Amino acid sequence: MVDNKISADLLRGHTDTIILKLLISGDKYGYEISKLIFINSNSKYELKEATMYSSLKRLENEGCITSYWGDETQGGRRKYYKITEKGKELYSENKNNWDYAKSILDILL
Amino acid sequence: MNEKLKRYLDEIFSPYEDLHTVRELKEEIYFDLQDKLNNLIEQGHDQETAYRMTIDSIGDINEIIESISSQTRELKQKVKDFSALNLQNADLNGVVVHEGKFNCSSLKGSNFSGSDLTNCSFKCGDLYDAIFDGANLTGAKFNKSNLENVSFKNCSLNDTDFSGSNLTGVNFDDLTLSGTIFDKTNLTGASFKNTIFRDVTFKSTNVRKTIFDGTTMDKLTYAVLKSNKADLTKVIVI
Repeated sequence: MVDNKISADLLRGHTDTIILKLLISGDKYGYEISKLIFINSNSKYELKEATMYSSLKRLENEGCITSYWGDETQGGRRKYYKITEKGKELYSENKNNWDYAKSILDILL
Repeated sequence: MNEKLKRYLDEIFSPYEDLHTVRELKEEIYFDLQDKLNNLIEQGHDQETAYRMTIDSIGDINEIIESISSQTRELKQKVKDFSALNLQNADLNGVVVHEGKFNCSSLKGSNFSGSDLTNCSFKCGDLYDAIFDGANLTGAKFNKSNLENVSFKNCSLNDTDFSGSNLTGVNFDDLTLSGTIFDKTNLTGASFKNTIFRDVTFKSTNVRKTIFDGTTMDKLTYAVLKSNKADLTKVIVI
């Protein structure tokens, strides 16, 4: 688990990009996203629900994702998120920026 | 259904309940967290521990509210003049429009529940059957409008001006009205049961068939209403 505040803040700054990446492989609902982040980080990073939903609402507002209510056949009602073309572009851009920053930091730090 | 989880979410979202978008978000979070809770129980945690872990993972609710309210703020800035529009039966639930104009508009049956319409004007409009439940109408002006059967449950009507409007059959029960103006209105069949008046004016108002049971008012208001021939047998004068 990430207990260190600075590491948590660093990761939180990339929430939008992390979510966009998960949506590229298919539509997902809120809890599915937070669960995948936890699993994919080898149980090292657990995103707070508040942070995730505010990121989802922001991305939706910017037209990077869209949402729809799923059917209720599997028990509870779930709201699914789908990435748009604009969202895919934002992901590539953010990913490139990160790779570039990382290459510099790797030299400097 | 986990009642405890539902109650917890109801409580943390209660200050924002009047926003339609927040209600929908609460529903979404409720179902997601329900899933998470069940998952934790399946993993072998007991009910109480699973519940704790679930609510601990929510984090700061204000973070979400801010991302939503920035959207409603945009609406506030974009559109302010709705005059002469046909908005019959429109769903305007939870809108935030300050100093907006709805003059001469047809708003029959429209729904403004939970909206914030501070200082808006609704002059010469037709608002028959419109719903303003829980809305903030502080300083709003409803002059010369038809407000028959409009619902104002739990509204804030401080300094709201109803001059010259038709308020037939409108229910103002249990509200506290401060600085509200009812001059030259028709209040036939309107009801002010257990309402509290503070500096409310009723100049040349038709109050002959208005209900004032358990209404609290000062002596001056009492005298004015008396001269307008209101039935004041059950009022409380302070």
